[in-house]
Order: sequence, then C-alpha cells, then structure tokens
Amino acid sequence: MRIYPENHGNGRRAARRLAAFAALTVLAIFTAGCWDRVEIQDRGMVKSMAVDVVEADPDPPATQRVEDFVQPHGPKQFMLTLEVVRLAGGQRQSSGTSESQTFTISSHGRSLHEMKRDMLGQLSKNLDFGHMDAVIFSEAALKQEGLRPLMDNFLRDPSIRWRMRIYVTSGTARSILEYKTPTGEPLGQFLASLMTNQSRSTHMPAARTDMGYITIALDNGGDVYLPRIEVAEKALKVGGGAAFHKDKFIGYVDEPTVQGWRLARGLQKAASITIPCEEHPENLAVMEITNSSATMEPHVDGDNIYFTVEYQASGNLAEFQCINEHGKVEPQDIHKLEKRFAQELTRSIAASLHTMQVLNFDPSGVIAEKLKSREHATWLKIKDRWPEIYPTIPFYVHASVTLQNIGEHR
Amino acid sequence: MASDLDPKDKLSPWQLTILLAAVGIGSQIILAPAQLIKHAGQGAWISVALGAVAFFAATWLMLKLGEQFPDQNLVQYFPAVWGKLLGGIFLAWFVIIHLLQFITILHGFSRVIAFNLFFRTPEEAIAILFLFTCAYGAMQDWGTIIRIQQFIFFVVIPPLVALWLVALLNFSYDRLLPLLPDDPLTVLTGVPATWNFYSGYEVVLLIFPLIYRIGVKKAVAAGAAFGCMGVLFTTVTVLTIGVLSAKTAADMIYPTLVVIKGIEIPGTFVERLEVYMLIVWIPIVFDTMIILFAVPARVLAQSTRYSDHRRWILFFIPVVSVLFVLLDPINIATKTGEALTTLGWGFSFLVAPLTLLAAKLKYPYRKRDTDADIS
Repeated sequence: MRIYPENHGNGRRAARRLAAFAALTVLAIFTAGCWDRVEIQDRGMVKSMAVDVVEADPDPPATQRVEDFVQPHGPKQFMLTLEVVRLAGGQRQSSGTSESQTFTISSHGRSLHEMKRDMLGQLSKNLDFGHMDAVIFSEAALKQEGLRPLMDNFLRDPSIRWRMRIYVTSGTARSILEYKTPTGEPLGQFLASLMTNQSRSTHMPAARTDMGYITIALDNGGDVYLPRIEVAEKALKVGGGAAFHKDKFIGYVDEPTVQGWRLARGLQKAASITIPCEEHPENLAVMEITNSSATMEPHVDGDNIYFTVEYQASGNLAEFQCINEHGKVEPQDIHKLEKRFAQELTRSIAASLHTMQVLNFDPSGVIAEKLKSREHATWLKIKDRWPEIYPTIPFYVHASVTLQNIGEHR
Repeated sequence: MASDLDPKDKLSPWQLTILLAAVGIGSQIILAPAQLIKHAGQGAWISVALGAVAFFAATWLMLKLGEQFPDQNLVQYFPAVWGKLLGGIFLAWFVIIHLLQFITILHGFSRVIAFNLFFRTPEEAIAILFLFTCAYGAMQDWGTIIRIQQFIFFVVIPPLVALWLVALLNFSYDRLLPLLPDDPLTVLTGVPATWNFYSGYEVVLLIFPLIYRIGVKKAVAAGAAFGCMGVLFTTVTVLTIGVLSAKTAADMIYPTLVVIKGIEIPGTFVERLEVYMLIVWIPIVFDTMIILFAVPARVLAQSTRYSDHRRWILFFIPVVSVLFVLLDPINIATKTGEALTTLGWGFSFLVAPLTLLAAKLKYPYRKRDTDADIS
C-alpha cells in the first residue's frame, strides 16, 4: 500500500541521497585521516649515524649482549650506532651539569636496515631518519665493505636527505658520535653547521662531496673523496680527505692537497694563502682570497693530451709577519706580493694535481668527464686506457692575483 | 538567461590549447623520464623535443580527420568509414588506450605518493580515493571540466616550473655533453617512448565538433599546446640530466623527484622541496585523469546509445579497481606500460592516418570544415 503516492518521487530521491551520504561517509572513514601520523614527541629523530666493524669477541660485555640479536643470515660484521635526539631537552641535573640533548644506541649485525629495525627494541620512539645530517664510516668498515654497499640502504630510503654528509674516520666511528660538542648541539647538527664554514676554509673537502654528488660520481665510474673526521678526548676536527678508487678506500689526502684541488676546480671562493718572506723564511705573509674563479680545459694536439688550469684570485693582505724587518707595506710592495702569491697558488694547484696523478685518483671523475665532454673523439679512442694515461697527462697551471686591500692598518 | 554555472559544451580554440596541455602535463612528468633516459642517454632531451613535433603531427592529422566530419565525432564516423566491425574495433582500441593509461597512471601515482609521503598507507587506499575523485570530476560536462583544467593549469604550473628552475643551482652543462650521444639512433628510437609525455591529445577526435570554428585555427591552438609541453618537457629532461647525469637519472626510479630532492637553498630553512613538488603534482595528475576517465565513458555512452556517460563511469570504477590489482606486480606494470605505448603510437600513426585516407577516398566530394577568421 502506498501511503503517500504523491510523494513517492521525493521519497526515492531522499533515499538515494541518504545512500550517497552513507557511501561517502564510509569512504571518508576508510580513506580520510592519516595512517602515517606520528606525533613529534613519538619520533626518535636520528641526527647522525656511525658504522664500525665489530670485533669478534667470544665473551662480549653485558651491554653488547643485550644490544645484540640473533641474525638468521650472514656473519655479524658491523656495529651501527645512532645519535637520537632527546626531545624533552637537556635537563639540568642536581650536580649542575646539563644532560645531553641526544643519546646513542647501538646494534650489531650485517644489514644496516636490519640493525635499524632491531634497535626499535631499545627505544620507545619511532626512528625517523629524515633529519639525519651525518653518517660516519670507520676506515675499517670501508676497507672491509667498500663505500657503495654501505651507502646502498640510504639510497633506497626516500626519507634520507640527498645532501646528507658522509665522513670517514681512522678510528672508531662510534667515538665520534659520543663526542660532546662544545656548543651543546647534537653532533649531526654541529657537523652540518661546521661544514657551512667550508666556504672560508680550503682544508675541508666539503663542496660536492655529499651523498648526492658521491652517488653521481660512483654511477659514472668516478673516484670520490670524503671529508676526514677525527676525535681525541675533547678535540674534534674535520680536515683533509679520504680517497677512494671508485668505492674502494685507498688512503688519506692532506689539507694542502685538498686545498689545491678545490682551487683548481673553482670550488672555493674564499681561502688563505701563505708565502714565506724571501729574506726571513720563518715569517709569513698571508693573503685572504675573497673572490676567485678557475677554469680547467683539456687540449688535444695530435696524440698529446694536456690540460690547462687558469686561476684568478682577488683579495686582501691578511697578515704580514715581516713588518719589523721590512717596515710598513708600501704601494710598490703590492705588485711583488701579488706575483709571489700567484706563484704560490700555481705551485699549490700543480702539487695537488701531481699528487692526484701519483695516486691515479680523479675525484668525482672530473678530469675524465672534462675530456669526455670537450674532446669526445679523443676520449672514445683512449677511454679503455684512461687509468694508464691519466698519470702521464701534463697540467699547465697559471694563476694571477690582485691584491685589492692591505687591510685597515698599513 | 545563461549563467556561468550552466553547462557549457563549447570550447574556444585557446581552451583547446589548455585542454591539450593540461592533459599532457600530468603524471608522466615524474613517472616517464627514467625509462626514456635509460634508452636514449644524455640525448633523451632531443627525443623529447622531437616527440613534441611527432605528436603534434599526429594531432594535426586527427584535426584534419575531424574536418572531414565537422559535426561528428569518431564514434559517428569510424563505423561509417570502416564499417561496423572494423570501426568498432578501432573504437575499442581508442577506449582501451584511455582506460589502460588511466590505470597505469593511477598505479604510478599511488605508488609515488605512498612511497614518498605516506609509507604506512596502502597504495590501494590512495588509489581508491583518487579513483573516486577522478570519477566525480569525469561525470561533469565538458564546460566544467575545462574550467577545472584552466584553474588548475594556471594555479599549479607556475610553482612547478619555479621549483624546477631552482634546480639550476645544481646544474652542470658538462653532463649534457656531447650533445649527440655516441649512438644517435637511440635518440630517434627514443621518440616513440615520449608518447607517455604527450598522450591525451587523442581527445580531439571526440571533442572536435565542440570547438568553435571562428577565431584562431585549431591547428594553431594545438601547436601552442605542443609548444608549451615541448618546452616544459625538454627543459625538465635537460635539467634532470644536467643535475643528475644520464647514468644516475637512468638508475633512479623517479629522477625528476630526486632533482628537486637535491635542492638546498643556502641560508634558508626551506628543505625537502620534493614534498612540495608532490603536493603540486597531485592536482596536475587529477587534471589528466579526469579526461582519461571521461573520454572512454563518453565514447561508450554514445556507442551504446546511452545518453548519460555517468553510468559508464560508475561501471568503470569496479573495472579499474580489479585491473589495478591485477596489474600490481612491477614486471606486469612495466609490460603493460610498454604495450600501452605501442597501442598509443599505433593508434596515432596507423589508425588515424588510415582513417583520414579512407575518408578522403570514400567521400571525395564531401564539404569539409575550415576555420574562419573572426573578422
């Protein structure tokens, strides 16, 4: 029986609307909201990571036994340590010392990913690697495994920053993570800030050595170098570099070599250059480079390949230790100083390139890439013999200097 | 009196430009470059630029075909030209291309979003939500769809371009050299693969009767769309190779995303720009998807004498859902993508030109449509 035959159409429309509303509500329940919501206080933000080789120990200490887990495949080769932010902040203790803003946790295993997951058993937080600034590899881990396999997990994880820094230490990487920074910052943040100083210090191989650039270099068959970091008691220092043939560790290069390379590549805007006084070599004159440019070009002349490096710098006289012996810096001294600084820059760059050739080391494959892109026909002829040819290639370096200022005091 | 809210089923030639550009600039900007760069190396950008020319040629042929039947769309003239059976097969081909493209993009889209933004959310949940959103959009009349596209196009494309231009900070010209790869043939053989970038232009076969016949010529409007897409896609490919190098870009699953991920603006707190890019990307994909969903529904509605295409859209929802699950394994999705490119390329350069030829032979004295100047 139809109760309201005249309203039947309206009733059907209302029923349809109700069904649509119910369908939308169900849909909203199942699809809205956020499965991925993690409150900030529930995040264990990892600021830095250390990878060491684990020493075989038949009777490990109690802490290590607790940190450990049963691994179904492969030997336990690495110790992974994470620096995690203590979000409650450093609390002042009764003794007056402040509690660190971070803490470290470790695990032993073969796979970095498996260790990261196992460490969740030591933590009430959800590990978050999206803010990780630094990874420190021990020399031993790199010698054992090579760089690429150790980086593999980072490259697959979309949360990891493409511009994350990787460091190498000759000692244990964990000791770096346990270093208490003088500013109280988390170590990862401290290192990230420290590396921004690279624009004014040529001793740190920081430009174009982050994870993104390393990956590109390795994918293209190039060599890489990474910043070296060392710690002893209360001192921590980044300086010099760790050199790799492709991804195999070959040794360290010192600060002058890093400086010469960075100048040759035009990766340095500001730098300090020292020259000894001609008459009193124990005293130094120092130039602060404030602006510079460099071009490195390959040339082919018949069967001969050579490179030219043209370097131009301008800056100020930063220090003149012979002031007592020679008197104040006069305008006629400027040209002489410019010439000697230019000679020193030429020597520095040439020496660095020579060291690279002796090591058969082409950071980021830059020199090979220059030849490949600019003299492609020649590259095709010699590419298979490049490792033999590279150490024999002459580099002709020319530097020019302009001293713009001698400082506030003559 | 007609208001702005009334359904509008007429398009100006410049709206055609927006429609073609909006449907082209979509998901593939993230999904497609890796395969192309893998194939064509550092010369991939040349393939992309040549692709713009090739697919504009295909669109021009389709417009010429439309001019043969100015008041009809392909549903009406394909059976007339080829007969019921062959015409039906070609129409089915047309429908399959759009549906398969829709499913492939839905797959890639939900995977990218889940992988990069919501790693705990099942891809299927993202796909279902997006499927319903696209279905709702596709149910609208052409006028509404065009207005949605215009809005999204002008609001979203500028920030997307701005984001990519910031990537110039990491650009190295040397990575593009030599401009022509050692094997130049790879550049040419890479052109068909760029169908993924430009696809969607096939819609002109359906909407041709809706386009005004006065003012700017349709071919010029389509040329403007392909010019816009060609410049954008070529720039993005050049940037991707210049930032990552061809080898790294080929090894990445979503290289254009990594290009943005690598941006660090010195002295600012802005970081993880890829998240912003994905947020901008979502409406761009929606722009493409509503057309890909609306087109097969309208073709089938017209073919089956159902006046309302919305029933077909409702029918497609479970069909797409099932196919989405069936095509889930990565290897099957890859094979489907390859088959789709072949189908798309074949329709554009085989079916459409042959139909034009057959129409000219069959109706040699037919009065054709020409664009008139507005004066």
